[in-house]
Amino acid sequence: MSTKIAVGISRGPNSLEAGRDAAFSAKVNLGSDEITLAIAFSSINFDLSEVVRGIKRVIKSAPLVGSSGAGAITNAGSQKRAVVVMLIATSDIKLGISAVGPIASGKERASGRDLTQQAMDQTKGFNRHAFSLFCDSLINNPADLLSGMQEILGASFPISGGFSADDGHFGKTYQFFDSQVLSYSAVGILWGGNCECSIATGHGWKALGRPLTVTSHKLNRIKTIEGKPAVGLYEDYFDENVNDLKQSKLSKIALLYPLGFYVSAEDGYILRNVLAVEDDGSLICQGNIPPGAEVRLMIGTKESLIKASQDAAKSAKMYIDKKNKRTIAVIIADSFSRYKLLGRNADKEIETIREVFGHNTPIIGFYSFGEQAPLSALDYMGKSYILNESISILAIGV
Amino acid sequence: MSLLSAKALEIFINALGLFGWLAVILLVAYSLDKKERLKKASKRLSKIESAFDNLDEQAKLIVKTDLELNKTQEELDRKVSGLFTLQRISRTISRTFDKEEVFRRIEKSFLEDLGFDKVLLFIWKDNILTHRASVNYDKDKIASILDSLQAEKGRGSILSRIKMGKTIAKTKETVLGETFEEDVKKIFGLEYFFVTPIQLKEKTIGFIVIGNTSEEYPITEGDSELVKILSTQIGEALENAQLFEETWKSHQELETKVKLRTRELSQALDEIKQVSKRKSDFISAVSHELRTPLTSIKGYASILISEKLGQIPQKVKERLKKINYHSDDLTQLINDLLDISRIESGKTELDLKTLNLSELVNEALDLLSPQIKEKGLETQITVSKELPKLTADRRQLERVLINLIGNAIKFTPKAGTISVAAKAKDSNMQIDISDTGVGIPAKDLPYIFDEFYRSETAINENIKGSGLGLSLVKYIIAAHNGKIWVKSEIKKGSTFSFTLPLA
Repeated sequence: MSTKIAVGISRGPNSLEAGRDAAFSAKVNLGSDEITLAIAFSSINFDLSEVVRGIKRVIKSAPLVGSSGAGAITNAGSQKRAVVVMLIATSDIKLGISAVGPIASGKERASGRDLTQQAMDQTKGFNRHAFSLFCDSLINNPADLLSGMQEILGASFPISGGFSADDGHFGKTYQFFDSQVLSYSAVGILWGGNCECSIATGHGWKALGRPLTVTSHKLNRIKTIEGKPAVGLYEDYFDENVNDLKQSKLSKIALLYPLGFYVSAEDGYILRNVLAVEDDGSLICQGNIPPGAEVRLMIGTKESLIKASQDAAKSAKMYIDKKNKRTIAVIIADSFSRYKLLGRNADKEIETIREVFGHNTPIIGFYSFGEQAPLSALDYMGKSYILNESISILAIGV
Repeated sequence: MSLLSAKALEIFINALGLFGWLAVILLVAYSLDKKERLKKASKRLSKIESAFDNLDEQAKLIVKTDLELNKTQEELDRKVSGLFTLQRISRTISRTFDKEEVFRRIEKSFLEDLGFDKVLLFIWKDNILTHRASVNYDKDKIASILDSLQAEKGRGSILSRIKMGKTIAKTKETVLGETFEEDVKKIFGLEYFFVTPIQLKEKTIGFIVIGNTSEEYPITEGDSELVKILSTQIGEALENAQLFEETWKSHQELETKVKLRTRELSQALDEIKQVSKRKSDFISAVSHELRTPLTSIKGYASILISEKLGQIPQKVKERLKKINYHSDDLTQLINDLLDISRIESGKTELDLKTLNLSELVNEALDLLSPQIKEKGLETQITVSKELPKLTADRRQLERVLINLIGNAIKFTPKAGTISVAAKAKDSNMQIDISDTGVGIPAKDLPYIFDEFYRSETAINENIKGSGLGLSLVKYIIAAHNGKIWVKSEIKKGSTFSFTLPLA
């Protein structure tokens, strides 16, 4: 059978029809009835149970993995309201799929181990290349889930993907696994067999102002910077009163000016969105704070963001090319913050990626509340991190 | 200093010797240099520190400027995408002329693209407020909103403000009266909102409620323009639908009237056809009945004139010749009538052939040359032999030419001019027969081709004619799918033109 991959999209308006039409369109493009796996992303505006029901009507018993997003991505660009489906029919690639959840607080690490082990069991005896993770963004400690996964996969095994999103309200997010629509869960795909996977990431933000030392933090909370309440950083730079910042203003400012934590081992910055300010002036970030952190305010432009995505795409493609393989599919988790910031230019970002991989290479993706990827790509597959305001690109080559 | 200490110092100085002194001097010098260098490094450090501070201050300025730019850009993006969405909505709702369809086409996706959470649309129908469209409201909530709106009383109520054409807005910038604001928020379940009238010919026919439920997503004054455009577009679409409905209704009425009238006309036409057929049948029958005895009269008159039955007095002979002569006229008249009747009833089949007009014109002129010569008329013939050929029945076309040229001769005074011209035009040949004759009064022109119609002029009274010649010509031309018409001016002459199809 070799490998065939195709993508379909539908904008609805009816949820069942949107799922069915997207899957049907993908199936028509695939030209095969033997579907090995379906990957689906849907914006939150649909009744997701109906969307999944619609997809399953077309793919029948084939497995389904996916996530809700703040928007969907295909070769056609970005869509705020759409269902996108990628269908894979393959005898070359060995796929392990898994799901865990609902993930209780404190059980994140164990859930990460469980999620990975399920997928590992299905790919015994095959080379394993990468893990695609789609995880609820509202679980308590996603960093622990990632650590749990790395305990099984190995610290430098490449993990790529994104955290499920809603339309920006941070209310409830969803994961798809076969016929189920889950929440507070994680689903994944372990890519193995006769294929190559390449992961690349980028953000495009540049450090601004003086480097500051995080003097006290725990998990995703920064208590003090340079010995003073962490919120002082934003008060200082934006000349804003702490009370104004508390009243939702900070999340908007931080969307444009996230915090950048320098990771010396990777010679790069990991970004963190600030979600809230606590009464004691602590900043609550979307993702844990790297240890020994030196923090800086980050600034970006639409052009620098798009350039970073283009560089990431080139880097991912170069690895596949170097292995004398052909890129047959691209899976993207792109930050919701980037989508908001790019606005009408969001399509330009996808167009740039499409140009790198070629217009006929199937692309699917979603706008996420956080991404996962190793900071370095190409020959060196470094440790995967939880990222914010970044794009994570997984290229599959055969 | 004690004596002991002074002694000790003296011993120490002596002990140092020359090298010792040198070392001490160097040590002091080094110490002074190090202090100097430390001082300089410290100065440089504070300079760097100050540069860092300056850079940080600059960074703050950059951030503030960038933030302003981003805000402007965001507002611009929002407006542009809002306008795009409005254009899409406009295109969608203006494509239907069905009022109900206008409401159905206000989709959830449009609302989301405009950046709002919820929408409600109400219309007054026969003074009763009815809900026509909604996004993200359930039936129970809509029912409760309707109850609350109708329960409100007084000049300041939502409905009275809307009926006066006022927009009620709660945006990031505007503040309504505290109690009123809370009431509106509670009724519609929105934190930020626009309640905007939909107007048709400046009369409020309904209103649209649009807004966001979360304080996180305030709407701005800038959005008010979008909402006003939206309500105007809905109003226009409804107006168009109403106009279409009215036009359609009047069109239907008109169509019914036209159908009725057409039926009446068709009946009248059938009756006319029947009458005409009866007339033709009658003429045909009468003509046949007349022709037989006429032939006998003419035959007997000819026998008598030939004196085969014995000599007859000269006076009788003259009278008999008149009988013979008038019998010929009568026969001609009857033949013409029969021909008209045949052509009209479609009984005459044309023997269509490819003909050269020039030959036919010359033959007709040859035939009529005695009359032309007798009156001393000049003839101008502009019928080229090279003209394309015609498709026509030779005998019938000869009759047309003889009739029209004959008329021209009849009505042209002595020494006048008769001209015959022909030209090919598109797929037809146009033949013009002109004279410098007496002309036809304008009042007679519309009837000139009618059967038995003769212009009531003094000249006409002196010129013999049945009033059937031109009718016959008209029927022959029509049978060839041609057209005939006349232009005439009193005392200047007439031009009879007709067309025939080219071969």
